Amino acid sequence: MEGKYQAMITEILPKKLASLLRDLFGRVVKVDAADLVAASTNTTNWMAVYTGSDGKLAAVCICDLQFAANAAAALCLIPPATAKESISSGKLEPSLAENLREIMNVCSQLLVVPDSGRITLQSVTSIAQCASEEAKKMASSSSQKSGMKVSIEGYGEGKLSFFT
Amino acid sequence: MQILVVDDSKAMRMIVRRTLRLAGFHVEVKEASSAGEALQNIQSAPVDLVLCDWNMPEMNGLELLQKLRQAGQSVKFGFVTSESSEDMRNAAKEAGALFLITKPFTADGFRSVLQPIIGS
Repeated sequence: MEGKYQAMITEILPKKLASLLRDLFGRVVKVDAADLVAASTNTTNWMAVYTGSDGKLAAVCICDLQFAANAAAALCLIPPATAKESISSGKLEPSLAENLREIMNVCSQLLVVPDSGRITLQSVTSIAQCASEEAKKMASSSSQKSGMKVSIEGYGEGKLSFFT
Repeated sequence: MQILVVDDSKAMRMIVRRTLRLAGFHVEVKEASSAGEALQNIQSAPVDLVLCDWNMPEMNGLELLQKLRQAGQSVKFGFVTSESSEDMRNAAKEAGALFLITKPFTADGFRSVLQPIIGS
């Protein structure tokens, strides 16, 4: 299973993410390899936690505030200025946070590999509010990881990373 | 034609509504933010088609469909969900769902699945 995840997360996932976000936002989305997003709790980053069919931790996604705000705004055609205000204030406003949760929910399908069963979104929180120490540990120590920069037409750039 | 969109995400309800419009369907769209709310709505004011998320808190979409059928409601029903395993597709079909559309979806995708059901 680990081999399948490694190939999926480094080779397949960026292409699948670009395709998924293009369909989700209905606009041009470009995805490139990038540095990992920091798992540190003293950041404005956000964290999504996914579990498998057995209820155990399966994957973690961390994104920076730029991705969170721009993607969440693009999902519902919220003006880019609203995303910029959130980024400037260092805090994701509630409606954007709700949209980010839906984006992370749809992204759960990216993490499914053959024979892995279901992958279900459990939580999306600011990284400081994430209650799962296990998830934070996965984000800081997993060897299976992929960092990406996402550019959303009309909105802007942001980064996210997946860890399994 | 009245369609009830059931999803706990306000954003996704809005996107389904927008995609129906982009797909060229001129239909009346109602919304419910939970399966429980949908059950009440359908029992008090029947609709022609239900587009329902699968994973929702308290009662999921499959349970909603099963409750509707147990109550004798034969309303047309389809899932719009981020997961689409073979097991889920089988369970949906067995419970009486007509289709399962995977998120993210496009207007073209909606058109091809819903045209035979909604018409033009």
